[in-house]
Amino acid sequence: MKRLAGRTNAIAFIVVAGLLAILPAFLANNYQVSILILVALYTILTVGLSLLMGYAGQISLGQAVFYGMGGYITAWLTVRAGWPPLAGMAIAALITAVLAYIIGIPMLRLRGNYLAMVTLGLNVIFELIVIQETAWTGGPDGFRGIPKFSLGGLVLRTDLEMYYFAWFVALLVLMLSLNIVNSRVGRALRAVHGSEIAAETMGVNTAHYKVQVFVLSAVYASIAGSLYAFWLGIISPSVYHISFSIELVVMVAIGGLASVWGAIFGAATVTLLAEFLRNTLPHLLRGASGEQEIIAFGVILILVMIFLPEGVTTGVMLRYRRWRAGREALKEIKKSAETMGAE
Amino acid sequence: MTDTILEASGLRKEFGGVVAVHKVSFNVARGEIFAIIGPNGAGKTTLFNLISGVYPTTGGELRFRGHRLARANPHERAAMGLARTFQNLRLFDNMTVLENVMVGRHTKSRYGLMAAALRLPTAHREERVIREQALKRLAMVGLEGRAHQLVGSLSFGQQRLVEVARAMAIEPQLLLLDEPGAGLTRKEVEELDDLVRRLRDDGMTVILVEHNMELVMGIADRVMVLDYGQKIAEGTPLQVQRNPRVIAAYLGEEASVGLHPEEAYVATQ
Repeated sequence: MKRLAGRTNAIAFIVVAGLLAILPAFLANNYQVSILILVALYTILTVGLSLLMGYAGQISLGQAVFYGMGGYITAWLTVRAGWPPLAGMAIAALITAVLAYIIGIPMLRLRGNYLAMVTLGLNVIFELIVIQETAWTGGPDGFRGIPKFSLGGLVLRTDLEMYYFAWFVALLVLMLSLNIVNSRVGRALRAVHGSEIAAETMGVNTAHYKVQVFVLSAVYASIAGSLYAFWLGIISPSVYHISFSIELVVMVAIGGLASVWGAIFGAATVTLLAEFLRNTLPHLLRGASGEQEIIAFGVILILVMIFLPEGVTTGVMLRYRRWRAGREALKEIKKSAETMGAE
Repeated sequence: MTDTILEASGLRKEFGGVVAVHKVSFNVARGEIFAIIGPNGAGKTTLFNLISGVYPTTGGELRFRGHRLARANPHERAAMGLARTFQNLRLFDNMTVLENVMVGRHTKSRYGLMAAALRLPTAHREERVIREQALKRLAMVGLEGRAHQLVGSLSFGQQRLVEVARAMAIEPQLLLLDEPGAGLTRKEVEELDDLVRRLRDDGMTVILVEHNMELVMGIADRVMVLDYGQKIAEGTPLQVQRNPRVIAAYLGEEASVGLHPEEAYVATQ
C-alpha cells in the first residue's frame, strides 16, 4: 500500500506540475497570474499548518508572524545589509525556526491548546512591533525597495517568472512533506494523532515531534514570506494581521487536516473565494466594503467544523471509504448467510 | 537463574483521596510468565499504568533491569525494553494494520526528519528493515494477510492481536499484556496462549492481567492477586487457587478459582 501510495503520489505530482506549467497559457491577464502566485505561497503556508493541526493536534493562530518574519528579515538583510536574496531567505528561515523552537518547547510539552493562545498573543505583539519600530521595519508605510529574487545572473523580473519559481518551491515543499508523512517520522506523527498515550508507550517522544512539526511549519511560512517580499518589493504590516492567520486556518479546514494534497485545494479555494467576494460583495450589499469577506470565512469555518471536522477533502474521502467498507461488509454478511443457508 | 527483571516495592497510587494501589511489592524474574488477577477495580490496570509510566507513582519504587524508573517517561521506558498493550484498545485508527506495527519499530530505528524529507539512503535502508520486522510480527499473530487493511476494519479480537504484534515489534524484554484474552473467540484464546508461550521461550518476560482463568492458570508461572489495591496472595497457580483469601475475594465462599473457569469469569464481570 505504501508503495502504491508512493506511485499515486508520484503520478499526481507529475500531473499537477504539468497542469501548472501550461496554465499560464490560458490566463487572460497579469491579475490572474498574481492570484496564482498567491495560491502557491498560501499552499506552502497551508501544508505546514495542516501538518501541525492534523498531526500535532495543535492550532497556531500566529502563522502570519512567521510569514512576516520571513518577509521582514529577508527585506532587512537584502536591503540594509546588502546580502544576496537566497542568503537572506535562508537566514530568515533559520531565525524563524529558532523563534518557533523557543516558543514551541514549553508550549508543546503541556497538553491542551496553549499554543493557540501563545501564537495569538505573538501575532498581536508582532503587528505592534512592525508598526512601531519604523527605523527597522518602515512602519505603517511598509518596507520598500526589496530586490527581485536572483540567483547568479538570473533575475526573476516578471510575474510569470515568479509564478514558476513560487510553484517550483511549493511543489518542492509538497514533495518533502509527502516524504515526511510516509516515513518513520510521519508514522510517529500519525501515531500521536491517533493516540498520544499509545504513541508514547511505543517509544515515540511525542513532545519532540510536536516541536519539530511546529518548527517545520514556521520554516515553511518564513520561506513563503520571503518569496512574497521578493515578488512585490514592498511589505507592510496589514498583511500580517491576525485575520490572515485565521484565513490560513480556514484553508487548512477546507483542505483537510493532515492532508498534504488538500493544502493546494484549501489555499486555492480560499484565495479565489476571497477575490470573488472582494469584487462582488460591494455590489451585492450596499455599503459593504469587501472587508466583510472575513464574515463569510467565519461562516465557512463553522460549517466545516460542524459537518466535516476532518476538513472538506479528508472528510469526503473518509466518508467515501467508510461507505465502501460498509458495502463490502454487507456483501460478506450476505454471502456468509447464503452459504450458511446452503449448509 | 534468579535474575530479577522488574522489582516493585511499596508501590502506591492515589487519585485524589482514593487509594488505587496500596503498598504493592513483587518481583518478576526474567523469562517467566507472571499473571496479575483480581476482581474489577482491584487496581490491576492502574498497576500497569504505573509500570509503563502512563501515571506517575505516589509512592514506592520501581526498578526495571536494575534501573530506577521513577523519572523515565513512557517513551524512555519503551526504549529500555518495556512494552504494553491496552485493555481498551488504543490502536492508531488512521493507519493500516502494518503501519500500526511499524510504529512499534520506532525505538529500533534512528532516521529523522531531514533524512525522511530528503529520502536519504539511510531512510530507505531502515525503512526496509522496519517493514520486514513488522511483517514478521504480524505473521506471528497470523494477521499478515490483513497487513494493508485499515486497522478499524478488523474484528475486535484481531485488533487485540494487532496490539500484541505492535508491542512485540519493540522487541521488549518485558511485555505487559492488559487483558489480551478479552473479546477473543475460544480459538483465538488458544492461539494467544500458544503465542505467549513462544514469546517466553524466546526469552521475553510477560506480565499478564487477565480475567480468563483458564488462560491464566494454564500459562502463568506465578500469579499475584490484588483486591482493593492490595496484594492478597502470590504464588503458583495451584497455591493461589487454594488460597482462602483469594476464594473469598472472588466468589464469596463456595466455588474455588480456576476449577470453574466460566463461573469465575462470570463472577468477575
